[in-house]
Amino acid sequence: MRIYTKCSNYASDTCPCVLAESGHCIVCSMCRGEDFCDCSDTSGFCVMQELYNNGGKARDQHHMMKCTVTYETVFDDTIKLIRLNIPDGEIRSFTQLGSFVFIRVLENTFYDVPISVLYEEIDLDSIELMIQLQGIKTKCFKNLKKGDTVFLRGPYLNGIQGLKALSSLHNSKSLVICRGIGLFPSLYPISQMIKNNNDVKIYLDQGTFSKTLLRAAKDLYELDIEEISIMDPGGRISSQMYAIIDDAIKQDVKLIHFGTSDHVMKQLIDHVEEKSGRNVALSCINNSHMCCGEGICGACTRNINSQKIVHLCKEQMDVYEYGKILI
Amino acid sequence: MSRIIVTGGGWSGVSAALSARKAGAEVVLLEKTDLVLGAGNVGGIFRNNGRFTAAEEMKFLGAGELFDIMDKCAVHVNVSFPGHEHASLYDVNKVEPCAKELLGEFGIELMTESHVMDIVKVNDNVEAVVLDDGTKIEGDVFIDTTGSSGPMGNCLKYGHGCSMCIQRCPTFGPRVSLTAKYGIKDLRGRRSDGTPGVFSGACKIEKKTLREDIRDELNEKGVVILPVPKEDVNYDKLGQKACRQYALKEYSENVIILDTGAAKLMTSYYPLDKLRKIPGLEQAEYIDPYSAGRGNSIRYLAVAPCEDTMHVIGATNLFCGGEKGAPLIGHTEAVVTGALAGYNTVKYAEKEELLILPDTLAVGNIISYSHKQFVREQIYNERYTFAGGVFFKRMKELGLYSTDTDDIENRVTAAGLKGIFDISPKTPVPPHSRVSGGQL
Ligand SMILES: Cc1cc2nc3c(=O)[nH]c(=O)nc-3n(C[C@H](O)[C@H](O)[C@H](O)COP(=O)(O)OP(=O)(O)OC[C@H]3O[C@@H](n4cnc5c(N)ncnc54)[C@H](O)[C@@H]3O)c2cc1C
Ligand SMILES: Cc1cc2nc3c(=O)[nH]c(=O)nc-3n(C[C@H](O)[C@H](O)[C@H](O)COP(=O)(O)OP(=O)(O)OC[C@H]3O[C@@H](n4cnc5c(N)ncnc54)[C@H](O)[C@@H]3O)c2cc1C
Ligand code: FES
Repeated sequence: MRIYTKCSNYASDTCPCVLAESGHCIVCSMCRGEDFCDCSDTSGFCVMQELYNNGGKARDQHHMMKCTVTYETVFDDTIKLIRLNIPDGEIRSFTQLGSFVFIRVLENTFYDVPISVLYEEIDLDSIELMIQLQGIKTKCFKNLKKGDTVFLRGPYLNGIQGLKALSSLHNSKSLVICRGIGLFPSLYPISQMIKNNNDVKIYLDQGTFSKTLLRAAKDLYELDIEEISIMDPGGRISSQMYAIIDDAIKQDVKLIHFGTSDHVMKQLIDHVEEKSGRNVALSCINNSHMCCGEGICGACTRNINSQKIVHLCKEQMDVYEYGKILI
Repeated sequence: MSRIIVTGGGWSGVSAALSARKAGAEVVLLEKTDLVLGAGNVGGIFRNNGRFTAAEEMKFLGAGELFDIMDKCAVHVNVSFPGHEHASLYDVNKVEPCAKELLGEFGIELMTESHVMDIVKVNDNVEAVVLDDGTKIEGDVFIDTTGSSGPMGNCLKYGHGCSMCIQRCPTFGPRVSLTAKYGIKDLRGRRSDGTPGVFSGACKIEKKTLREDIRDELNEKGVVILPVPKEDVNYDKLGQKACRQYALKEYSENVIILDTGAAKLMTSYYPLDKLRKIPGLEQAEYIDPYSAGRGNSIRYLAVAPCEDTMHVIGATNLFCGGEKGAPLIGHTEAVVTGALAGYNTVKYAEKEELLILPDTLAVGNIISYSHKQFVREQIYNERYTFAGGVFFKRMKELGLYSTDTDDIENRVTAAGLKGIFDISPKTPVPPHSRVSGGQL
């Protein structure tokens, strides 16, 4: 079967983007220079028409914004919560399903880090991020203080795979499985599902988190979380985890969301596929290694069956297919 | 019982659904918008010229239900206008609910607002169509009657942008070629200058916006002809039009308006300020397409190569009808090819021989002739209709044009096909498993 991808940027503030302008649009065959219109799942927004109406040029694209830190706190020495002030007029919808930003500190001139937006306060022009200090790019945030400046561009919209399934879930049951920092990029999907009157059951493996951090996360976001161990001591997925998933499938859960590492996610997706025959919808956080976020640099690309290159910073895939390309 | 899935609820899809149902199948009809009949909601002309013969042939073949509906909804009968005799005009505002009701009576499961975006193909066989919310609709044999207009990109590149026509792609999603999803290349109709795609040939004006005396004349006679100011006559537009039967000089020098419940203007598009220069149309306003002052939908960019059985060449369990299955224009033509496709899907499912309508009937002749010209001879700048152009000429030459119903009955009997489509359902009508819209 053909592998379809859809662009998370489609019909957003920045669509048509430079890809469309230069003849490489993910969605529109005609913007890619083909002779005939081949779109099959777009409605409301014709990229070609918008490009034409805009004189053949991309819409105003993401640009670097200079933001001030208004609050920061560190948990366990490794997780830093920061609140930022967005310059006047730049606050557009930062928290949408899947939205994340690229951010860097003043001293770092090149390397932006993708971080999910947890929360936005439109009236206060502020957004909130939770950053795990892991390596060279994120550890720069460690000494960031209130009043300091960071550089930010966004919002980008492909932080979650399975956006459509998530946004169209109403009055149903869903299961959320997260581990460690994977909880934070999953917060917005969780609140969205709750808002849409779904019964959401959340399991969290504390991973490298300490008990204090776990408690802080629960209190901060008022979550009703059950703790589990996704892995058994041998490093394999625990039988308890599998039992929870099997049970959910039996209980007619309509969607399962994963906020874990790719390695764990891959095994869990395969398991759901085997048990449900793809009858349960899936969504998951996007852990790709990204650089530009625009579908241009190629840092995030994967090759599917030597048929197609996907840019995971922008393209939405069927999550079962996505599971196949995870390493 | 075989299960037939029809995608696209225009005249051809409705006709295919009915005839498959009558041949004994369980039928699901999927339509992306909230209305069935597609372009039939903006047309209205039937029984003009050779379409009379075709309608009568279909009745004797046992597929008369849809012509009965058109006749029942006719606001004018026996109207003449340039190049056309004995036309009937149905009321485009009344016909659609009648068609929906008929589908319900026959126990066809109609799913409106169900936009098909893909197929599931396993080992060359179509197993299901996929709606844009991911729902899979499984079946034994599939019919693609998605028409050939749009989507927006085509209307932009080959027309003047989305003109907001009855297809309403921005709201309900683009037309999708199921045959192309299967892997079969669409053939493309062309204008006389070779440009791909042709403009739809008519628009609708709100009747209330005509001057009162013009409106009265239209209501009474069914047709009004008003001269175009000399400086605005544009003969070039004729070559771009889909409808060969109206590519006549008279249609450039005059505006011809027919009464189909709305005021049907027989031109692809006409700038509003120029239209309003014509005495009587000073306050005219378009109601389909809304942007008819600038353009109209682009059609015939997705015609699948079909055999004369309406089976898609190179595919397995996939058939086509209407504009999708041949470069045919018209409601009558769509009903004819749809009925044959519907009947043959059931034969295919039952592994019986497929029906070809013979050349001795106008309805068989148009299918074989248009396929020969378009698919085999690769003549892409011609379209075919019983109502005019090359095919009506051919009908007259071959003695196929007739308004004598006894004569028509005799030829159907001679072909051994009387009542062929009229097999009543073998099984009782099942209750609707899902009816959207609650309109039945
Ligand atoms: C869309 C998106 C949203 C994200 N949201 C958040 C967030 O809200 N909070 C947050 O803390 N992090 C988030 N991340 C991950 C974050 O971007 C990475 O942790 C960061 O880029 C690591 O950079 P570094 O230079 O500090 O570490 P590196 O030196 O690049 O890596 C240090 C260690 O972390 C591992 N690592 C690096 N990146 C990842 C990754 N993406 N997944 C798993 N392991 C990785 C490396 O293998 C290495 O072991 C997100 C990533 C993406 C793509
Ligand atoms: C403005 C205009 C005026 C006309 N006037 C006349 C006239 O007066 N007399 C006459 O005989 N002929 C007229 N014609 C021509 C005639 O209407 C058409 O040739 C005929 O109706 C075509 O029928 P069809 O079923 O093949 O296609 P359509 O009527 O185009 O129907 C296709 C249907 O498929 C649906 N569809 C498409 N894609 C999908 C999808 N992916 N999923 C689900 N559904 C889908 C569409 O919504 C539509 O309802 C006119 C045409 C136009 C455009
Ligand atoms: S991150 Fe640059 S192409 Fe995806």
